[in-house]
Amino acid sequence: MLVLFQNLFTRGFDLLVNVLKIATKITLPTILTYIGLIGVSFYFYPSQTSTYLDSTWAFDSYLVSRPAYITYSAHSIDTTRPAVVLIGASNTGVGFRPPELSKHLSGASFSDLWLGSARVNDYAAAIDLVYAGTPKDQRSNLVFVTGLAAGQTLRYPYRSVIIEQMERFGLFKQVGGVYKYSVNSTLFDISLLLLRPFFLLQSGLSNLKPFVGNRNTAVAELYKSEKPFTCLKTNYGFDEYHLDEYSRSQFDALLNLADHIKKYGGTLVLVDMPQPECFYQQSKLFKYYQNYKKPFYKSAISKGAVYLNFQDISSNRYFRDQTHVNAIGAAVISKKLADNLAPIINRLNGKP
Amino acid sequence: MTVGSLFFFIFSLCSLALYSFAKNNRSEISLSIINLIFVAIVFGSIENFIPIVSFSILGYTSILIVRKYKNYLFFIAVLLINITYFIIIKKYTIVSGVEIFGFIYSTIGLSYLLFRSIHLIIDVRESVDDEIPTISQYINYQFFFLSFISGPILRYQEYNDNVRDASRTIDRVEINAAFERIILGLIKVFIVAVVAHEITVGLPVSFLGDKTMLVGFRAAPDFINLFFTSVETNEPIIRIAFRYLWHSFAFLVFLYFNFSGYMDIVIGVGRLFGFKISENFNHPFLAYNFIDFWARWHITLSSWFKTYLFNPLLKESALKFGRGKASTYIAVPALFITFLVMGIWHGTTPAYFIYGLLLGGGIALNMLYQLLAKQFFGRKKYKIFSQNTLYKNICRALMVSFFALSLSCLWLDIAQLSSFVKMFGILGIMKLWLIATIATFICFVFWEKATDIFARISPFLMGALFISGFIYLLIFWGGIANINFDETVAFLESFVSAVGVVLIVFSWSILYHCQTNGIRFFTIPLWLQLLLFSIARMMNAGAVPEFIYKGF
Repeated sequence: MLVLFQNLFTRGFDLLVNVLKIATKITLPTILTYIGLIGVSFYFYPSQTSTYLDSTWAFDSYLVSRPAYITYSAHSIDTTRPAVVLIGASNTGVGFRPPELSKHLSGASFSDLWLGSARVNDYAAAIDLVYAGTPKDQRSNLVFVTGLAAGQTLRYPYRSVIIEQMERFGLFKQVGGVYKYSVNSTLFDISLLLLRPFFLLQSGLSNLKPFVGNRNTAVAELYKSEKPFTCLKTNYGFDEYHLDEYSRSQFDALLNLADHIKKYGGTLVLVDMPQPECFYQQSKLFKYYQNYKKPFYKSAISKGAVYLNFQDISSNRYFRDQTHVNAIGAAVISKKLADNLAPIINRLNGKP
Repeated sequence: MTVGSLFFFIFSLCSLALYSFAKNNRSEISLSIINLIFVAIVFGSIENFIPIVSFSILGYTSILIVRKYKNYLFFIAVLLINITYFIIIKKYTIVSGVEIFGFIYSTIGLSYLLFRSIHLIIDVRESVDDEIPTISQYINYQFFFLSFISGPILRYQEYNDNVRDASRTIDRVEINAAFERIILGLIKVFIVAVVAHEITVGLPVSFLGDKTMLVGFRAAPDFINLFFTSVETNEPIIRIAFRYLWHSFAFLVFLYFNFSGYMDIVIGVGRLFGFKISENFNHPFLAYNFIDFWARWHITLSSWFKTYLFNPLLKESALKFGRGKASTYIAVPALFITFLVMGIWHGTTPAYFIYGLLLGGGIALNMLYQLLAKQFFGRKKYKIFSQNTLYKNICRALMVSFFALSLSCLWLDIAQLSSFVKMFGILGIMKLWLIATIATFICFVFWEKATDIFARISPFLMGALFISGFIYLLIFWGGIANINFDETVAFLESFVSAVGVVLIVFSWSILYHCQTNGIRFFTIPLWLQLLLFSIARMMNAGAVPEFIYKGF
C-alpha cells in the first residue's frame, strides 16, 4: 500500500496526466466549437413556446424537416383541453388547416402533424409520441384526424424519416411495439438544447435558410393556390405491382392504430378524402380503393373509430391536382370537418 | 464491451490509471486485474466463460506435458487433443452431435486462444532452455485485453517484451500519435465501415428464387440483359449479377475498414500504455499478387500460418522430394494447404471449406503462374515485365476482384452458394470475375492518377476533401437529401450514399501519397476530426455492426 502511495505522489501518475493533458488538448476545442454552435443555433432560432404544432411551417423552425419537427415537439401539445391532432400525408396537411378549423370550432386546439408520408405505421409512431408526452388523465382529450385516399394510401408505403429521427439520438425507445421517451421531460429538454447544433447543421446544409438564404416558398405557394384542376386526357396510371400487399399492410396498420387509440384513450377520426370527379370516373385505382376499403373501415368503426366520407366534394374547382385540394377546397373541407368534429369536442368539453 | 465504445475508452482510461502507478515489478499484477475485469465484462457470467477457461487450462497443461516429454508422438497427440477440443467447443458442423457443455456459452476469442496455445506448445518443444511462462504470465498473455477478442496474434516473446519494456515516460509526440491512430480507427469503424455495411444490408442478394430479382434492366437493350442468363431457367439474371458484384465489393470494403479500424483503435490504446502492438494491415490493396497481399492483410494471422504450417510443410516436402529443380514447385501445394486450413479456421460451416479452397486455389495458382512465367521468360525479363504499371494494375485488379468474390463464402450460406453456382454456372462466374476485374482495374487506374494529381494541386486539398466527405455524410445521414435506405433500395441510392466515404478514403490516399512521395501537405487537426466524427456519428440512426472478426 505504501509503495502504491509513494508511486502515486512521485512518478506514478505521470503517464495518466500526460495522456489526459493531450486528450484535453484534442477534446477541448471540439467541445468549445460545439458550445459555440449551440450559441449560433439560439441566434438563428429561439425556443418554441407554442402549445400547438403546425408542421406546415416546420421549415421556419430549427427543426427543419417535418418529421424532426414532430419528433422533437410532439410533447408540447396542450392537452389540458380537447386537442385535435391532424396527422397524415400531404392531402391531410394541405386540406385541413388549423386557422380555418379554429375559425369554425372553438373549445379545442388544432395541431397539424403532417408528416409527408403516407405510411400508416409512421402515423402510429407520431401518435405514440403524442401519447408519451400526454399525462394519462388527459389522453381522452386527444382527437386524431387522418385523411385517407386512393393513391398514396394504397401505393406508396415509403416511410418518412420519423423513425430514423427517433432512433438517431437515443431519446426514444420502443417498448412492446410502442415508441416512448427514454428520458424524463427535463432531460429531454436538456438533450434538445444540446442537440440544437445537429438541427442547425441540417437546416444550414439544406437548401433552406439561414445559411443559403433560400426560403422555402413551395409550401406557401401550395397554400395560396386557388387554381382549379384540369382533368388529364389519358387514363390515370394503375400500377398493380405489389398493390394488394401494400394495401393490406396499410389497412392492417390502420386497424392496429384504431385498437391502440381505443386502448390508450382518445378518438380516431378517419376521413375519406375528396378527390376530383374525373379521377372518380377514370381511375381504376379509385375503383379498386372503393371495393377494398369497405370491410376495413367497418372493422375500424367497430373498434371505436369515427368514419367521415368527404367524397361528395368532387368539383374540379376545389382541387389543385388529383389528391390535393386548393385554397378554396381547403376552406370547404376544413369547415366540413369542423362541423363534424363539433359534437365530439362538445362532448369532451362537457357540453350537450 | 465493444472496442471503440465510450465504455471501452472509460475502461481503458481507468486501466491506464491503475497501470500507470503500479511499479515495474507490479505491472503484471495490475495487468492481471485489468484483464480479469475486461474478461468479466465481456463474458458477463461464469457459465459463459467456462469453456474458454477449460480450453486455457488444457493449453497450459499441454505446455507442461510437452516440456516434460519431448517425444514426437506425445507432441502430435497433444496438438490433436487441443485442436479436437477446439473443434468441439467451437461447434463445427462436422461434430454437430457432440455436446460437452449442456448450456449456452460464448466462444469469443476462442480461435485466437488456439493460435496462442499452439504457438506456445510448439515453441516450448523446440526451445532448449525449457523455459515456460508462469501461470500468471500465461493467463495475462492469453487474456491480454487488447488482443483477446480479435487479435492481433501476438507471439509470447513479443507480448513479454511489450510488458517488460513498456515505457512509463511516453513522450507527448507518442501520445499524440496514439490519439491520431485511435481517431483514424474510429472513423474507419463507425463511419466508413458502417456505410459499406448499410449498402450490403440495403442491397440484399438472394439466390433462393426471389422472382423480383430474376429480371433484366427495363431500360437496357437485350444484348445487355442477356449477358447473364440463368443456367437452370434461361431467365435474364443481370440484375442479380450486378447486385451481387456491388454487394461483394461493399462487403470487402466493410470487412477491411471494420477490421483495420479495430486494429487502429487497439494499437492506439496500446501505445498509451507503452505497448508496441504488431500491425495487422499494411495497405493490402497496393499488393500486386496474393503472396504480397497476404503479407499485408491480417499480417499476424498469415505470419502465424507461415511459421507453424507453411514452413514445416515446406521443410517436410523438401526432405521428401529433395532439393532438385522441381523443389521450387513444392511451395505451391504447401501454400494451397496452408490457405485451405486458414479458410476453414474462419468459420464452422461447410461454406468456410469452400472459402479455404478459394483462398488456397488463388494463392497456389498465383505462385504457379509466377514460377512458370519466370521459367518461360527468364528471371530478368520477368522482373522487367512485372514492373510494368499496366501489367501491375491488371494483376492487382484480378487479385482484388477474386478476393472480393471469394468473400461471398462469409456472407452466403452453403444453400445460397449452391444456388448461386447452379444459377450462374462456371462460365457465368468467370464472366462475373471478368466484369469485376475490369471495373476494379478502371477504379485503380483512375484512383492512382487522381491521387497523384490532387496531391500536387494544393496541400490543403486533402483536408478539403476530408471535410467534404463528412459534410456529405451529414446530409445523407441527417436525411436532408432524403436518401434513405429502405426495402426498396436501388443501385443509384447505394452509389449516392457511398460518395461521402469515397471522399474520406480518397483524402487518406492523398495523405499517404504525399507522405511516401515527400509532397507538402496539411493534415486536419485532431480536434476537428473528432468534431466531424462525433457529429457524423450522431447523425446516423443505424446500428453499428459488430466487429466482424469477433466471431472468429
